[in-house]
Amino acid sequence: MKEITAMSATAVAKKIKEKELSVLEVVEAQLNAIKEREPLYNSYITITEKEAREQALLIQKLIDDGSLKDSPLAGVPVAIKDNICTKGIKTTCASKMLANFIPSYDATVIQRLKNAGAILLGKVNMDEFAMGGTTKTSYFGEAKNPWNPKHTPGGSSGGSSAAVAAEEAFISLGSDTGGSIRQPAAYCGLVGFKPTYGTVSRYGLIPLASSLDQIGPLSRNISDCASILEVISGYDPKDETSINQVRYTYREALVDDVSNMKIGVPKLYLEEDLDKDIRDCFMGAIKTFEDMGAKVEVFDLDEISYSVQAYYVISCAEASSNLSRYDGIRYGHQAGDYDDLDELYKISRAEGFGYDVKLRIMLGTHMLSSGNYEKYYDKARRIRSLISRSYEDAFKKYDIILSPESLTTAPLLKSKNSPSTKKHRSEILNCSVNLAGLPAVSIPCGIDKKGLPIGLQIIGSLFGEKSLIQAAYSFEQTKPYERPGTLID
Amino acid sequence: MKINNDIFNNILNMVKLSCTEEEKKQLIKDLNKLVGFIDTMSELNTDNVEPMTYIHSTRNVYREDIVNDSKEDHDIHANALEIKDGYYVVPRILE
Repeated sequence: MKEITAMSATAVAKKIKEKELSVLEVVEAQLNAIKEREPLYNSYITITEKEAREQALLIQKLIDDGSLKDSPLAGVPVAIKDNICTKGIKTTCASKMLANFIPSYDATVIQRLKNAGAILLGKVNMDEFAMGGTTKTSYFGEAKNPWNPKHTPGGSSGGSSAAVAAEEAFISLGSDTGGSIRQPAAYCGLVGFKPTYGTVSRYGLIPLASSLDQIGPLSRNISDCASILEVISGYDPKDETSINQVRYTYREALVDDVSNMKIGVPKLYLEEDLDKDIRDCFMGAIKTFEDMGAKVEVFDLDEISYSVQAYYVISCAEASSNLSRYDGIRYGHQAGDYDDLDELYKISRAEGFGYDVKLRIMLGTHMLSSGNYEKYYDKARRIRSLISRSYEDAFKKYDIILSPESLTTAPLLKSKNSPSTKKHRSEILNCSVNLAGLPAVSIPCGIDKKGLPIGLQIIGSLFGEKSLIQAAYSFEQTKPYERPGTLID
Repeated sequence: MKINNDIFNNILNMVKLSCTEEEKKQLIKDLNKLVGFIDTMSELNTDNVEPMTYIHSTRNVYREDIVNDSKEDHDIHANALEIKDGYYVVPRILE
């Protein structure tokens, strides 16, 4: 089984293409791994076993008759975060509110994956409505980190990271509003890519904060990541914030060369009280880039210091508006006992939403309410302008920016989820990127003394995906993928 | 301004939620903690800075008015608790 499931997505696609493996063989191996490991990791909310087998036969025919010869992912099983709509398959957002919700349509990314011949394995765990960084708020129980099940796999795309690291999927999709792809990827030793806002259609992504949300992949190497990005990117008339670009040929950027690159390192990340292991790995990564011929420079980027405050205001304001659609009538949880319409709304929502969701909805509405709008929402949007502008200035000088992905490695699941200054500062690294709409990737850059992976974040300019891929690919040549040592074979 | 009982009840009504006394105490405590943190952003001078909502410039999107596949009513209604003659059933709102 391991011989198949431990392969990369592109390697397994090649074996399928060359008829060394059948799609069904690959799907069966993957389903076996899921069955064996799920009791330990709880990565999945729904496993689409029957559909995956049916799909395997269908895709095999299309591969055999040559219809999918240009697809890099034909026959490759993928896992999908459970906030991305899948026709006829439960899409729960890890919430009691949507525990029985079955979409009547596919998200655009699902349609694109299906057209490319990818096989849907199931829907993976997350924090409720993507609000959190641990999966602890999932209505279906938390997911576990394959490197050490006592630790969180991160979040909110924690099922997406756990599934790929545990080899329960070759590749997965997550969504990133303030770091929700990159942080879980870092915690599980994976590649996690958040594309430029507008690169991937959000049609069918259940929204958290519409001006920040972006779908992206988690994978075990950068080549897999580039392949799936090519499949899911592109303009979609159903999402008018998606951008029309001529070509999304990310695989062309899989080139081992950074000799002409100028790299910026924001001073504030060097001043942070990083864990020693994280600091050592980060400094080591900078040296690796220098050794490969890149020019690295430290610069000031202090304008992003207030990113987290602005992010809380904007993301909660947008979430409070987006989540007003759950009324207990058209779909979602409905209260059993109520006297009038107002009570039906209030009880359905009180029963359907978990604590963190309620807290964020209330905070967002408070920020938008009369008398507060200017002080909070408007102020946050002005700070967003400043952040965006300072990144824009930085990218006049640099091709990419480097930072640690997180100030810590994966915390223990039982540790208290209280806001700390260190956590807030860690969030700056992530959410400033979403506020500015930039692309960023987290790639593995080492292991700490607890045996947990450390992530390196590479940030690019708007639509600078190719520079990110080239830098990440070059770095990966010096540090190939490591699978969790604890995985049972 | 601190979120007191009155402000809290007003927000609770606006967001159409209900909560227990215990939950209320915790929510007020957590909301005030978050607001206190958010308030620190007033330290940053943003005079003469325009607010920004979307990264890419907003533009009008026009398209031909062509009839295409819309969702089957049947599929969409399948998630509702009660449907009558193609309509959602809600509690009476007019006497």
